[in-house]
Amino acid sequence: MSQRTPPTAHITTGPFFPARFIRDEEADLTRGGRAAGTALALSGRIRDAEGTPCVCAVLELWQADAGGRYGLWGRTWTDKDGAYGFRTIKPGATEGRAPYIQVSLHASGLMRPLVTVLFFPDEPRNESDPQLRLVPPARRPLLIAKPQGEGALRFDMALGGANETPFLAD
Amino acid sequence: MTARIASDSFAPYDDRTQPARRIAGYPNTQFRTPAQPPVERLVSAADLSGPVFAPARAEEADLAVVAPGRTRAMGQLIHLSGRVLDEYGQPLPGVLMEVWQCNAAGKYIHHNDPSPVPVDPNFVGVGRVTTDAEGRYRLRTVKPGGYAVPEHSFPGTQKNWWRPPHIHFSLLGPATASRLITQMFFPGEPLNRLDLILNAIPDESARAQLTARFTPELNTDDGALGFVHDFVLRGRLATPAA
Repeated sequence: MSQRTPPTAHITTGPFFPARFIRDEEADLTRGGRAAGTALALSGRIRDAEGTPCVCAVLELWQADAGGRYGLWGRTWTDKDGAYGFRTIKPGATEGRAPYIQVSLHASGLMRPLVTVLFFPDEPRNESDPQLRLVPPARRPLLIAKPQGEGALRFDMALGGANETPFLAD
Repeated sequence: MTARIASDSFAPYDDRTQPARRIAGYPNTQFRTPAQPPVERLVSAADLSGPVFAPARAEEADLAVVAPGRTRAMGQLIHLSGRVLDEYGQPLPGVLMEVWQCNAAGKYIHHNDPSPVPVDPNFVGVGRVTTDAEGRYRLRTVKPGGYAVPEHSFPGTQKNWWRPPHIHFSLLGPATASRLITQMFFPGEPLNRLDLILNAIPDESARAQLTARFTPELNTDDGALGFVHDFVLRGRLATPAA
């Protein structure tokens, strides 16, 4: 094996992530007509351990298309209420997995990014998903988005407190 | 060689070479760091793949000029160049690097920067560059100033926490598991020794890895000082020799 150099250390984005890097079209993972499937509005709020909205937190989504092929990426940030919104589609399942969306979070005070996985409601494959099964049973519902009427899902995240979102080891 | 997705496809980050998540004197690290232990991560297709971006335009790599024909920004011009590699030294082409920094006086063009430090009308402090086939990048900018962090003090003192001169980098590499957001520091800066963020990394050589090398042979005729800085992204475990 060749000589290994440790990866460069992560450091927080801090409070000054440029607005120029947040492009409205990137909140739409179906942009450019690349994604067949039923349109889905995904929204939520992010709060810290004290319940205070996380403002200017950068969210990045990465998911498969309806056929299970990776290629849909999106980015946005939270507004003054800690709220965010994306437009996407429900991904197809990949081998052995329930449909899921990878969610990454970068913000002032997060020295390393937080990564979690969003699952879909009323999805029978959740029961056997190997990643979801690694989450303590009582906390699994926190990773399942909630229906918000036709074609809309809500996924709130808490960085602490009673309903702290489960995040994955990095 | 067979491609496989296994739980050992990426080495986990080493806490000695990565920053502590909670830092005394930096309250947001207390309120925003999850208290529960992290969930074991199953390395997934999402981790092993990543988005591909159109290359940045050449002019985006010059932060020192905001538009053609404009006066260049105030401050010490620098050329910064280097490579993006994986942990095993393989160059990474096509990595999109997003760059941001304050001006030479220590002011960000950002609605979150309330400081009274003056703006420079010829500097925005935002750029992008994509690594070439050998993993190389090159940027021109001005050296950022240090600045006092509003309403934050060094722990146990009434003295402002000062950030040393630094440049922010966001790297979108070959896989989401290698996603990196970091900062680059300058050699010989007295504030480096005091910075709460840089010194949250326990390992001295990992801190040194965040510090650019002044390389006078790369000084240029446009009046810029040469600095070299490499980035190392987490890579898949090397395939054992056949």
